[in-house]
Amino acid sequence: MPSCAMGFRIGNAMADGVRALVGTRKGLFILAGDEHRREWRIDSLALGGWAVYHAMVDPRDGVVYAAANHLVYGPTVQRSADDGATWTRSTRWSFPPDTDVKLDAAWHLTSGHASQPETLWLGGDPGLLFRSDDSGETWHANTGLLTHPTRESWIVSAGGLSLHSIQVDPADANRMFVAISAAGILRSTDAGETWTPINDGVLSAYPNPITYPDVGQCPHKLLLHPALLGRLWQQNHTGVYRSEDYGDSWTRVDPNGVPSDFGFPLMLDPADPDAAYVIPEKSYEFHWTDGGRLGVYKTRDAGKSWQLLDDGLPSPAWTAVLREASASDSQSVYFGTQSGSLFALTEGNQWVEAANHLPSILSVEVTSWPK
Amino acid sequence: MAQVTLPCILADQAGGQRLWNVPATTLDEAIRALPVADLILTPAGRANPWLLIFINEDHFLQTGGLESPVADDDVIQIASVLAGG
Repeated sequence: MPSCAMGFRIGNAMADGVRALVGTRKGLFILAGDEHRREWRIDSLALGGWAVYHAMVDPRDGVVYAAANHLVYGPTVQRSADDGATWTRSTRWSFPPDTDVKLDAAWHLTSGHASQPETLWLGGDPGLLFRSDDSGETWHANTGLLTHPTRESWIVSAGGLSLHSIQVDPADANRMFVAISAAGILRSTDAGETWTPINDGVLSAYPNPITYPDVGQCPHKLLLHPALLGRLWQQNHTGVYRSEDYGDSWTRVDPNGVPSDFGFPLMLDPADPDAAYVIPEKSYEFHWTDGGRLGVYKTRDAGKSWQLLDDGLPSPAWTAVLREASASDSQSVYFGTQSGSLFALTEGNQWVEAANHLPSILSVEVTSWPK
Repeated sequence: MAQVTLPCILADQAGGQRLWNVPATTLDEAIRALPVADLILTPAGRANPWLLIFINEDHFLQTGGLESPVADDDVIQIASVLAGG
């Protein structure tokens, strides 16, 4: 009988550096980087064979969670309390009665508010949000979204009807945001009981008699700045947008220097609310870097202007970066390509290739090593 | 005890154990005795259509489906339909 060995682990963690969780189409790679983000090594491989759409470390207790999907075995949420050495799978899923909906793909995991230490949120396809109040043992489908009056108007996109972004306001446990492709962005101010579409000023993704409908937009990535109250950023199918009022209104900012309205990744600087990074690509028909030019565009003035950062990136590079495949921390920004390379931005705005020849990268998250 | 052989990814989900000896009188009982039953059966309790399940040398659909009788020393093999090219 052939061996089932699928993963590996190497030695001790670096003392002062960063850990990157790199979800790929064939498993989760955990990388260690030094404090300057210049030296990297692959420390371990876990969940071999699973497509890891997203993995994260819960900052409240250090537990690793992964949204892992498999063509044969379906969508799962996996939990590791020992840095990825061993995993347990969530097996209790709760849906409202009188519904035949099921989870088709697990997309994104988010920790709950700091005041709710055992709460987690999971987004998935088709347009589903789940809440767990027991650290991932049990997941309850959110009724407010499942029965939302606009749901019939939501449009399935290339990745399914994916609920891929979940943002909980650190200043208010009841205020949260989700982004669904292609429904748009919805906000709750009652901890997920009810939801209001907030897409004012955002172009619809598809031909529509209304250019700015209430729903039907296609956000590709949504982030709430953790420090500046009310500031949201989204990379949409139709451009990059910023909001100053918790999403009540949106201002489009990509025409100020980004060469394409289309893209997926979005990165913020937790210390600078005016900074954001995007990676444009050719339109939805192509899903790759236009002309083989892989580049990251950065703004430091809230989108009034953009600067290309491509020093150290390969050229030409016919690749693309998926919506979950970028991350940021106080020191750097990171992204992974569909061609299996992970890049980190280092001092002097120079990119370092932290890893290459990985399976196609689906997701990237970073966290500091536990002290 | 019937013996169940799991494919690698299922074995990994079962704590790394590939061979299981389970008390069972039917295939359904044998599967439900495994810690990965939720990945082998659908929520409705049917067999995952992406898996091949054999009892000894017979495909389980030829022996009575999930209610197929299982005797001591029977060998149940589970494989992914994606095993080949």
